[in-house]
Amino acid sequence: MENQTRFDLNTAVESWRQELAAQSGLTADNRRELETHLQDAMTRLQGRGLSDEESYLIARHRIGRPRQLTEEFMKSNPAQAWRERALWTAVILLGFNLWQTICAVLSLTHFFGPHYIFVPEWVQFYFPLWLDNMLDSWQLRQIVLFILHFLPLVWLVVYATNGPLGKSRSLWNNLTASRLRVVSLTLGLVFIVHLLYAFFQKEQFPKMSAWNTFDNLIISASWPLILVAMITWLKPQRQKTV
Amino acid sequence: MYNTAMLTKDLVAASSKPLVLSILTAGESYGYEIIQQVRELSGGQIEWSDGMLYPVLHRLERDGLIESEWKESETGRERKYYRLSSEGHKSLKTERQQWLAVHNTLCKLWKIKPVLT
Repeated sequence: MENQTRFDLNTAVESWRQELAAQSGLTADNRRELETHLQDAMTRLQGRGLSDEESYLIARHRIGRPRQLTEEFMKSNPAQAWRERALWTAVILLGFNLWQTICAVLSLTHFFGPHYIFVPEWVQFYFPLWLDNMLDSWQLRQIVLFILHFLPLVWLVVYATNGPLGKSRSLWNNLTASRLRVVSLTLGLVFIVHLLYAFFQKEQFPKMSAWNTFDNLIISASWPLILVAMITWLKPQRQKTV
Repeated sequence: MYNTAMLTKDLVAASSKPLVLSILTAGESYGYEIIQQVRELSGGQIEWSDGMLYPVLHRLERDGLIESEWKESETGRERKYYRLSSEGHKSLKTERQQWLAVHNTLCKLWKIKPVLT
């Protein structure tokens, strides 16, 4: 009785392809290039008289294990791993924020009717002066907040573009020496700005509960955090020279 | 115990840049072909793990020393071809000087007549 199962090259290659796809550190371009290499190696081995199965096993062995490959690719491009993490962080925050906005819109239209114009927090983040209907006594505070809102972003953009400050000032160099330091400082700035925002809101609306103030803080903070994550994602790692 | 026929891992890693750049001076090439050339030229003494070449190629590309392009080969298979950039030519010149300096110094120390100038 025949015990051996027939080897299917296409199935084997597909299984290998899926193994590679499961590695988050490899881009689609990396996988495509590795697959081309596998095909080239198999063609060469088949030309030497090896069977499909032998060619596949040898070619696969020579390329290396998917996990090891990923580690090597990530070592050569550490920013790739950061991009991946930041992207997922951004996606989760976006989902969380959208969910909150939808809930708030539904809730407000239920209580005040469809004529109520609701401006979500994230829109106010970009246009706090024009869309906020609080342009009276604390207009100056709003202007200050508006500037403060964008300070972390300006900070990150200058860092991301390796601006002139990064080359000349030792303090700047010290502050931007590592990715972790930049992200920590940026998040610190975002937190301070939104704490101030929450404080002013509490002053404006004294009846607002502590939970609502905190809630507003979280809603407002999530969008800058997404931007921070996206900018971190776009920033390639500085090359180390030996 | 060291196997004298095979290069150490560190030396293989250090020599990968000048080897790739030198191979690409002859014209554009792709990963599999580069590995085969290194294997043949070194008589099997330099053994690269196939998948490990690509991080090296990508690093060289990011450094602007080589450029890449997906193209269809004569067999109809699409491959990513690499070619040397003008920066790569300059870098290879420097690499060549440095490796020859090491080679000549070792030859003097070991009292062997340098075979390269």
